Amino acid sequence: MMEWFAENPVLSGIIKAVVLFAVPMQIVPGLIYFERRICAWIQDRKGPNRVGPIGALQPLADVVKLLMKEDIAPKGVDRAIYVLAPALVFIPSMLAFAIVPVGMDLQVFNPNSGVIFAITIGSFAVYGLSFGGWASNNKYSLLGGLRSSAQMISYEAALFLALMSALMMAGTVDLNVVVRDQIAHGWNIWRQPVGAVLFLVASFAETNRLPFDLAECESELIGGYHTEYTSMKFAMFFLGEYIAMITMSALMVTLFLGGWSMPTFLLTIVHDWFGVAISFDQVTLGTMFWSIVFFSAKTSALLFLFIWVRWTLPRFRYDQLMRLGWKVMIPVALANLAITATVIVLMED
Amino acid sequence: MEEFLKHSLFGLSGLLGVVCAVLVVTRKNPIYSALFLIVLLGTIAIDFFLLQAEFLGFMQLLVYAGAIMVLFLFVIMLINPRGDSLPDEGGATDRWVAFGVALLIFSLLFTAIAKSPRLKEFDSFPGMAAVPETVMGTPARTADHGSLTAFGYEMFTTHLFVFELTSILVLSAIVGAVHLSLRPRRRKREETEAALDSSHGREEHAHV
Repeated sequence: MMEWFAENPVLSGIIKAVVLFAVPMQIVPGLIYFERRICAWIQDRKGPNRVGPIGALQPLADVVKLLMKEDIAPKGVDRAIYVLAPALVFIPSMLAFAIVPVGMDLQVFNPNSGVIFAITIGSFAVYGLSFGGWASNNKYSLLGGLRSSAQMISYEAALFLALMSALMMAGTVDLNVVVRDQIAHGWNIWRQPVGAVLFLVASFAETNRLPFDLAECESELIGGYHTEYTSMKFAMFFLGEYIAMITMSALMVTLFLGGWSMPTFLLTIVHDWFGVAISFDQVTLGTMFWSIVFFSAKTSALLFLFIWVRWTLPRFRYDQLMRLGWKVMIPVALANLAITATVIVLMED
Repeated sequence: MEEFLKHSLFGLSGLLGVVCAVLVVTRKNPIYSALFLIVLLGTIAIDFFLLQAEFLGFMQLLVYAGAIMVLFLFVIMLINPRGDSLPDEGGATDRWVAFGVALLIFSLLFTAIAKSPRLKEFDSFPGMAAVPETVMGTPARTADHGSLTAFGYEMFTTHLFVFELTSILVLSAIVGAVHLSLRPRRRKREETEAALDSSHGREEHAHV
């Protein structure tokens, strides 16, 4: 089977693209269900429990509702940009997922520029929010759009600098090599703890999740950039946010948490329980399966963290957000980068 | 086949780029101008990809389309010109002057490219994917041509001086921006302090 994939690059590429597009799309409704259940649990409520057993069919009901809802556009919207904006949020996050190795050497495509592709494409998501906020012809939406563009630009810098610290450890932008380097030398979260924390915080800001969801901020801006959106257009914004969350978690796992690998002691546990020996030296069907399991487990844990933080921390004030971004995150990230570079150079000699 | 695909992609992206460039200038609403400018920058990135300058293409997208245009949009949205509040576009004289300047720049660039001695060394129209093996005696393309490694190596060896010079330019711009943003705040603080001092003095008088 592995040989067949190697021999038919075009066909296997199409299969990979379709599967890796479909899987995150299917995860999103489940993720929304879990978010609602977990938030109910954190707030000591029951959460959705009416549709199906323990409310498990709630996401289906939500999707049907969103599809059947009347598509309303308020007066005075800028029609073309109003329709374009939801797609602009959704597409970049989905495309950025294409280069994440979800299993051993398993990614839709692997350009020479590696992870630079993901951050470049991911940075376009901000246009959806800004254009959506502007086109809605609503001052709250406009404020949400404005806030999101300033916020994304500010935290992108910290995100890139934190990402650089992880890339410098492996000396490459190829994510598979970054993972192999982590197998050899230990996870980057131990070698680059500051970088990992900065990346995590910046990825919360980039995905517009609490405590950084100033673009939505329902207590001040009603719903921010998506106030005037209904039915599927609103669902696209929603989908975009969750896909961005999945992509960011997957990137974080790959860069700092060993990607599709697992430390040796956990591999022995797998060996004891399931009787399979896993070695990451060569790609076999078994290794591929287990690497996908490891990757999914780590990404799910991070997604839980995203949800956990959302329902635990209060929202930042806008000036606090900007101060944290420019006066704390970026200087710390720059210092971290300088120290990393110095240590790498000293260790080479 | 591959050559044909590349040529048609170049043609399409070039056409789209020209159309977008015209739309950037002709749209009355600056938001639309910004939108088409983003697409235009994207088509330029496609040209870089076709020339196998992959890293440069991504940087084009990341820096121009992804970062600078966001700031443009921020400013446009902050002013939020709509309908009647759109500024006047200027009279017929302005348009003729603009047309003249554009024509001048176009003819300048066209002659410069047409008279370039390098032109003869390309086997097809410049800008197409067919980059020759050697340009003016030196190898035009190495194995990792356009990759991050090759780009970084060139940047920090051949062009190190220029690179550092540019970084100083950027640094001075940052210092200038910080200075400008601090000035009104400092003045405000001085005013507040002066006001506090005078009121404080009055209070002491009252005590006496």
